[in-house]
Amino acid sequence: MVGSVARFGWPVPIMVGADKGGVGKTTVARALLDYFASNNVIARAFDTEHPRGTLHRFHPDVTEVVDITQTPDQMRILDTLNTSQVKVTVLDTRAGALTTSLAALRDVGFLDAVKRGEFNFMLFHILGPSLASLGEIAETAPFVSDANYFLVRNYVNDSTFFDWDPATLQTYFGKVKNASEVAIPKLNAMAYEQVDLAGTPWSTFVANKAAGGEPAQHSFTLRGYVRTWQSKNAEEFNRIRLLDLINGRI
Amino acid sequence: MKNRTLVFIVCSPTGRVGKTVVARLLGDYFLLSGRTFVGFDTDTHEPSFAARFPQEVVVSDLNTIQGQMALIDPLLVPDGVPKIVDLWHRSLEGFFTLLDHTGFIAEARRLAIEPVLLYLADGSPRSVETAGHLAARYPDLQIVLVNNEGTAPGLEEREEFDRYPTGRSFKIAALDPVLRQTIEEPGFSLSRFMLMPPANMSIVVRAGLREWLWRVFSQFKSFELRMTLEETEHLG
Repeated sequence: MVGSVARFGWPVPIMVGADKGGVGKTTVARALLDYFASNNVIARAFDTEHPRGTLHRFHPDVTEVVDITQTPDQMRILDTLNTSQVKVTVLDTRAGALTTSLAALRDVGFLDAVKRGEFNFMLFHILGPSLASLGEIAETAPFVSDANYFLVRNYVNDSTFFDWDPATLQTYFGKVKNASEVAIPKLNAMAYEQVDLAGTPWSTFVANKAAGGEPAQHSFTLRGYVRTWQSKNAEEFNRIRLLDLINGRI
Repeated sequence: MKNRTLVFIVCSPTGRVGKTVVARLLGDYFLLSGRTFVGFDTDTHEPSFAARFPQEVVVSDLNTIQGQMALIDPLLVPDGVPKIVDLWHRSLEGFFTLLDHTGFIAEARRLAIEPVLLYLADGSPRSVETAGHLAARYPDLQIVLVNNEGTAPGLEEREEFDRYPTGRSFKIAALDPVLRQTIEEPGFSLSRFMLMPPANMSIVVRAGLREWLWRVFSQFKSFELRMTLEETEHLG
């Protein structure tokens, strides 16, 4: 029986991705890393936006830039899942590379290992505002039947999911078991931009600090907006019981 | 003794009840007592508070993030200089949403900044209801009712008055039309008048205005004294 003892220290690879660019994958990856940090969950991250690395810019201490299609880099990620002291690994996939990354993971036997219960695999699939995203769900679903699959609607930059009529949505959602929805709320554009310029984690900006930890001069108004946004994110992550999931409690 | 910074927010859900007059009286009260203040006018269409005090008051458009920053950030500077916000009735809800979204109240508390709501009561159902909502939404916020007899005559005798959240209140007496005309003249400064009335001014106008202002300013003074007494340690 796979009891709670066996699950203690269960590696948790969390993939954040989309097949469409510009839907804010890195924003969600940053929100996750921040949420983990504020809940004392130590996490590491891989940025597959090789060689530039956006996630790396915000979380340089925990992020490595890798090329997920190259064998040496796949080894760097997958072979360390079990041995690393850090159990939670966030993988920020490159724009448009979700299906190919999943295929690569399947080919190296990772998805089989997930099926055997070796890894507690989670996928945060960031949806774009159009119906094309729904097609992505159908494409992605077969890969993640053993994962915790989250469909993320990202409103951070004011996307309106205009053509999502509930009936259509339901037909797609019906195809995926284990899927739940997560909504990332809108953040004031200037606040978003300023954090982007600062190049720090959200919470560092809120604490009015610069990347090196020295005091910064960020506007209170903007910090307030970011803090409120963060707490809404935390509510969402709490709602899906993310901490229980990574600890294998559900 | 902590050095508290007072932030006065003059507001009401309706227009034309005398918000700007109250903001102006407060501003002149500080100037008259040899202090300065920093003011904000959120009425971008007709910023009459800003027009009275070009040196002290800035106009901030709460519909833009720049305007929000130009209001909220300076309000949280704990420099001991009183702040006065003349809140346009159309930006009332936006302003309080902004306070919530930025966590303003908690930050103000941390910095020993005391927001004081000066609520212009006019006895209308909307006014009573909004005051109740605000009191429930911000239980720790000090709400001072302003009973402006010029725009809401006889309010104190009406039963609506009892439906407002109870607390301190200011009373501003109705002003004789001639006196009102005098103070509404552009460029007429209440504090300068108190310091040195124009020589050519009618003695009747001068006495009437002085009396009116004195009654308002003494209420501000006693409010300030009571705040000081409350924050004094070693008191009995």
